[in-house]
Amino acid sequence: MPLNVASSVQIVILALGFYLPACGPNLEQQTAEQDVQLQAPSRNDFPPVSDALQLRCATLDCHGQAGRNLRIYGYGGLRLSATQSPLDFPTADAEYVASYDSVVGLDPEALSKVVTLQADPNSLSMIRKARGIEHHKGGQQMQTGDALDRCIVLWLQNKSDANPCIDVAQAPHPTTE
Amino acid sequence: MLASIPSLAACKVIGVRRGTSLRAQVEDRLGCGAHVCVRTEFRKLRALLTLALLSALLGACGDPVHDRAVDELGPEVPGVPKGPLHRPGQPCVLCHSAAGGDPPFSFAGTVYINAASATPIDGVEVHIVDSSGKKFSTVTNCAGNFIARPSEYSPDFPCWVSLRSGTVFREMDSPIYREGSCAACHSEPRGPSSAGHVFLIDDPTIEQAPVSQCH
Repeated sequence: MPLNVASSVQIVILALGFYLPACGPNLEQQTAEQDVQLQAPSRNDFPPVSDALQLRCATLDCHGQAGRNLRIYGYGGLRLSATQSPLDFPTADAEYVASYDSVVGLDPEALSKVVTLQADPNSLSMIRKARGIEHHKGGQQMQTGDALDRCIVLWLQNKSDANPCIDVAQAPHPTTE
Repeated sequence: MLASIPSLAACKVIGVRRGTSLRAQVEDRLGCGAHVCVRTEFRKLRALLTLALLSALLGACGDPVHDRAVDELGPEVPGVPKGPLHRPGQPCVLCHSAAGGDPPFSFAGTVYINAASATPIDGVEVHIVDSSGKKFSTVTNCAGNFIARPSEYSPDFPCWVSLRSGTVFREMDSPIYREGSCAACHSEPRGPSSAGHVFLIDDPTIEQAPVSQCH
């Protein structure tokens, strides 16, 4: 006799009930993860990275919006102070700090592994999206090894180099006329 | 009430007579004569009705965020019909897009004389170039509005924009990465997330605004 819909649903729910607990990490693993001290890349070395992100990622129509998980503050984009507008003043220290907090807060556990264990930067959603590996509404913004990529990845790996970050700012673009 | 819908709909779709057994009517109408055939036809009908119901429900669900943004724009200004001169300074692509339902624009915006002026300016050349070097140029109309339609320009973002009127040349500092409405980022008042409206003249002491050709 064929199963009716209600019976099928009951069976699926029961199966999920048995299966799902088996998928999660066990209590010992959770406790061990909580004991790990998370590490973040250098805040002092962040301003050149933030300036590069500002140019390539943080226009007002993208990550220069208060509603985004990754939001970058600074000159030409979203301002931290309610009394400033995008073109008023150069990026302030408080804006670098706010942008830093936003970046390091995205994937803190994975970030810590990149910083301390030199884990693959592709473990970070920010890198995957910018490289076009993961769907990104703003499209692919960098390729492995280009200036923006080196600027960010070297900072993540605590090998900061401001030169590729400066190259991002100096990259030419097509002229309008 | 819901339980009655399939049978009623079945009557309507298949066009059977009332007053006799529904199954018998369907068998008679379809000429199948077999219960299996009737059951199959009823399943098809039920699936169709479910799809129709789901389509109706989904169609009723708009995007409340988009709807609210459109509502906040307010009504048309009396005396200005819908068209190239309407709603200067508003985010055009909000409505002129697939989501908005009006004829889509790739880019559209309004140019004002200067940062402090609420007077739009006509005759200003708007030049756009995309990341592949593809260019588009147009001129602002009497409302200060300009439009780029997808049939005219379908850019590969990012894009860079400049304005020109005679010797006055103004270039936008940052590129545009996805937004087609100038006013999405260039709205009034200026603030932490808005650069203020788009303007041509930065320093009136050394730059001359063009004379308007509109009356």
